[in-house]
This record gives sequence, structure tokens and C-alpha cells, in this order.
Amino acid sequence: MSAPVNHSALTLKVLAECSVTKARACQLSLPHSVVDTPVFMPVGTQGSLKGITPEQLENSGCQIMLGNTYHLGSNPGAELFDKVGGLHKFMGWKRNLLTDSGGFQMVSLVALSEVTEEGVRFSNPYDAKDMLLTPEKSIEIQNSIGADIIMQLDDVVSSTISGPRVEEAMGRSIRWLDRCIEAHKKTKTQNLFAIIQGGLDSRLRTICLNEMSKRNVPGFAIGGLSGGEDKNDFWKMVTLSTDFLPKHKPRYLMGVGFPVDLVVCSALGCDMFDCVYPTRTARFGTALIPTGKLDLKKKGCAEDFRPIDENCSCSTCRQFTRAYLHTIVTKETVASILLTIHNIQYQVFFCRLTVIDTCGFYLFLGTRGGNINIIIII
Amino acid sequence: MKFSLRSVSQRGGRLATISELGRHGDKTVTTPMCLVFTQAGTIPHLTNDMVQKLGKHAYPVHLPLPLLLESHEILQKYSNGIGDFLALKHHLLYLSVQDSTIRPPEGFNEKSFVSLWGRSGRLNVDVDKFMSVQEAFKPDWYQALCDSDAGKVGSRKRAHKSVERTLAYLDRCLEKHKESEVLRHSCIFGSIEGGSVAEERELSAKETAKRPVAGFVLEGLDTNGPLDSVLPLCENGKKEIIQSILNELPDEKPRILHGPLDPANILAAVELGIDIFDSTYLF
Repeated sequence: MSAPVNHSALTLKVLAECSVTKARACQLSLPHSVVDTPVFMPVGTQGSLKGITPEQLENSGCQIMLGNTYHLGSNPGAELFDKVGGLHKFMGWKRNLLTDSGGFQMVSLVALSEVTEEGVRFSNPYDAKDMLLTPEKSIEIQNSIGADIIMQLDDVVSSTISGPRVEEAMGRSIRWLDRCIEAHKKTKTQNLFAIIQGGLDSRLRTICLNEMSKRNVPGFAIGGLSGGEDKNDFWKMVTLSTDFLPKHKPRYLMGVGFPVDLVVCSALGCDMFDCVYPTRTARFGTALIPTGKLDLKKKGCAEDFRPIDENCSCSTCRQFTRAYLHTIVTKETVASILLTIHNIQYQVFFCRLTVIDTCGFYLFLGTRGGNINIIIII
Repeated sequence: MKFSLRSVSQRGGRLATISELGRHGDKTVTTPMCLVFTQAGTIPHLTNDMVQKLGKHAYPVHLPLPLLLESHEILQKYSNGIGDFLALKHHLLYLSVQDSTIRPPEGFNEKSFVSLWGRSGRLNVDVDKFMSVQEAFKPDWYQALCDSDAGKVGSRKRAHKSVERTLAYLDRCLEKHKESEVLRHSCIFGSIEGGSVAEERELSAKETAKRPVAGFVLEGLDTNGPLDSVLPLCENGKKEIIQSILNELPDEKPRILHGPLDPANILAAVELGIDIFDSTYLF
């Protein structure tokens, strides 16, 4: 076990390491509360998990959630956050927040964006106003929002793209990291993470890793993945990054993901994950269970008087049967809420159990992950 | 169920307490009282943990039958009743025949059955099916099957039919209710029909009052009758109709008026002598 390393707004304590894989269990102390890693972070883009109150989120075991700089910067805007005193106060969330810089929107809103060295210009389809998001502007908005972890603005390209654009984006991300570090005003209360880019090219990734790890940031994210690329390429980039990144700083793998990916990437040494999957799929009537997925719309659920998961202690599973949920799923908003609560609790606890601190990773695979058979050749 | 008047105003408004609520032990409720409207068994947009925060105000829950009817067979298999199925068993549950937020088309009720409109369309419900539903659902209070389609405004013939049929349904429901072991803790409410025809309304009220019901529902004043909207109570002679009904009803039983009433109209209705409302206005 390594001694805890202290940056002024973050402490990472490694509690246990797997002797076979690169998995580790840690305690990440952030300004608002402690987070047990590996941690799954649900996504509340507009400052809330759709349909869930902060209290319900807290009860489901969530210790840290995401908000989005581009969306919150447009609405309600940084000025309002300054007046209110930050997003924590605005939404009534006592635990931790992480804001993405707006970088991913370069991919998701690619049709509405234009990237230059200066920054990225977004045209807003709702009010036809332009927003120029520079590294400085992104940090400024994130400083106003006040999240415990903030992300650099990176130049993000889709993982399915190859060619010189990938190298351009990687180089620019390094330069933007420096600009972000320079612009960041609240180092005592907010942790700025760097984001490793380089696409699916090990040479580019290595350059980026080399350069970014020279900067004194409290944590690193592995970006530019989880965008539809071949899994075989994906694992390689993840493990390359975790081999290189310092052990005493947290590693955040952005945009991951499905339960299988959480297991594998924990084994590859990642500590933090985020994904819209569990919450989005809940709104479409699908619950996450140990054997995979349960589609509550299916007729088979109509007379099934068991809860979604008999071993789950979430408020949904404690009160309701699959049969009841079948009657309301996709028809009543309450169904979205009930399934979201279950899926968040399920995914958060699933992720935490990927590494049982004293017993190690393989015990997890034997007890909880028993249905997963994975062979990885790296 | 025991309805105890505590005070009555000169104009007819009353304050009361309802006790002996069957399976709810020594809980009591006071009237005027608002029933919390549900749709397909959920309070719209609120999960139960959020509902708990409303405290005692969310205690009496209104379950309109139309969107729940499709779950009849499931509830029969489930066998623990609708309260348990919906995780609302600690609430006082009242099952009404129609849903004020769904406006059914006129002309689809027949002599032996009433049409209810669920998600997949029209469902015909006769007394046997209706009582089978009550036995599967096991509500605390329920409105007896009724025909609230009184035809066009002023039409005496159809209004009279709605009164006759409703009384016939009520009598058969009461018979089956009496024989039912499962429903021994449940209370049955009779419905006052008759559309906009004063004489029919009086007849319905007089006759229903003779039956051993726990209370009364003033029907056909919300979406399901020729009087369209309940609001405002002072227009179109609605106030007079309500008054003429209440004159025929005994004081010592509660009166329910369904439909979207805003606070001003609730006060007007309370003054006339109505005891129980629902929260469809919010919806």
C-alpha cells in the first residue's frame, strides 16, 4: 500500500491492490465527501439526474455525480452560479460533483461545432446564439459551477476517426491543458484533471501520457474512447494508459460503461467511471440485474411477483414487483424514476464490489461476476 | 365506517370526523377531505418516498378504476389486494368507477354493463365483473357500479335510465357485497345520477338514500355528464342541482364530489355541504 498523497483538494489512499490484475480499492477524499473507488458516477447533465431528487440519489449510495459545463453554461449560465454560490447549493446536493469541460460535446454535437486553436464554437439550436468555448472560458464556467473535480477542455475526436486529425487533437489537448492550469482559480477547492488523448494509436497515446504526466495535476482521465471503436483496440489503449499513469493519482476512464466494461477496466487499473447507460436505459424500461438486463416491457414480467433483483436493497426492489412495474413502464413517469433509482444503486454497488478491499479481485469474479467469461490478449 | 358530524354551518357546510376505518385500526380522518388522485395506481410523477413527505395529507388515495381494470387478472393471482401491489397499503384506498381526467364518449353504456375506457380501449363491465374486481382489489371504500351517461342536456329519458340502471346496479352490488367475506371491511358508496334533470336527481337521491350505503357520490357533474365541467359551481344551475341532491341525503353520511375544483370552487362546494374532493385539479 502506498502512503496517501495530498493535493490540496484531493487525497487518494490505496487500500488494497490485487496481486494478479492491476485492480485496486481506494479511498478518494474530496472537498464534499469521501468516495470509495472503483466508483461509478451517474450523469446528471443539466444539474439533475432526470426525475430523481438529490435525496433519492443520496439514498441510492451515489457519492459523486456529473454535470456538464456546456449545458449548464448555456442554461442557467455561470453568472447565476456565481450569485447562488455554485451548483451544489443550486441543486441541493451535499456530496461530490464532477463537471466535464464541454469537450465531449465536440463529438456529440459535431454538426453544431467548429474547432480552432482558440477554442470550440458551438451554435445553440434553441436560441441560435453562438458560444465560444475556450480553455479559459471552460475553466471559468467550471469555477462558477464549483464542482469538486473539473476537467480540462480537450480537443476530442471520435474514436472511429483516424489520420492527422487525431494527432492534431492530441497535441492541442496538451496545449489546452496548460491553458486550463493557468486559468484555474480555485485550486484549493477544485481538482483539475488532465485528459489523455491520442485516439487508438499507441504512439500518440504514449506521447500524450509522457507530456501530460509532467504537469502537476491531481488526477488523470483517459479520454477519446468508448465511442464505438472495436473493443480489442479499446482495452489496449486503457491498459497502456494505466501502465504509464502514476499509481498514487486517480485514473478516470470517461464514458464507461456497461457492467462488463466496469469489471475489465477495474482489472486494468481504472478507478472512476461515468456513463449515461444505466439512467438512459431505465427510462426505456430496462433494469440492470446480475444476469444482464431485464426488459420490464416484456410479457413475461406481467405475472412475475418478484422484485427486479431479490438481493437488491434499493427502494424500488423493497416495495415493488416486476408485475407492477410492467403495468406502468414507459407509460407513467414514476416508472422512469423507480427504474432509475434501481439502476443507479445497482451500478454503483456493482462497481464498488469489483474490488473487495481485503479479498481481492478474483473473489469478486467468483461470486458476483460469475457469468462473465472474458479472455483478453493484450 | 363511522361518520361523526362535529359542526354544521347555517348554509350547510360541515366539519366531521370519520373513524372505524376497517383495517386501519384507530386512525381517523377529518372532513372536508381531499383524496389524492392517482393514474394507473401512481400519484402522477411522485414516487412513494416523495409521497411520504406530504404526510397525513396524502393518506386518502383515490384510485379511478379505468386504467387499473387491465390488472384485474393479475390482482386475482397476486391475491394481496391492490394496496399491497401498489405499495400503498398503509393508505386509505377509495376506488371510483370513472376517471375525471378521461372523458368517455357518450352512448356506450348498455342496460347490463357500463363502458370504461382504459389504455387499450373500451372495456365492458357488468356487476359480476365489477364485484369480482372489488374482491381482487380489496379497497377500503368503493363506489358501486353506476351509469353516469345521462345523455344530452335536458334529456329526461336518458337521465331517467341512468338513475334506474344505477339503482339496479347498486342493489346487486349490495347483495354481493353482503355475501362477500373478502369485502367485509370495505365500504360501498352509492351514486346520485340524473344528469341535469332536477326531478331525476331528486329521485336518485331519495332512492339511493334508502339503501345501506356508507356514503354518496354526486355523479355526472365532472367530465362524464352533460354538465361538462364542474367549474364554476355558480353557473348553469349546478349549484341548484347540488343543493337539490343534498336536500334528500341524510346528514350523517359523507358526500363525495369528483372533478377538477380549484380552491374557490372547493370552498363553494363545502358551503353547500360536500365533504370529500379529489386532487384532479392539480393534475
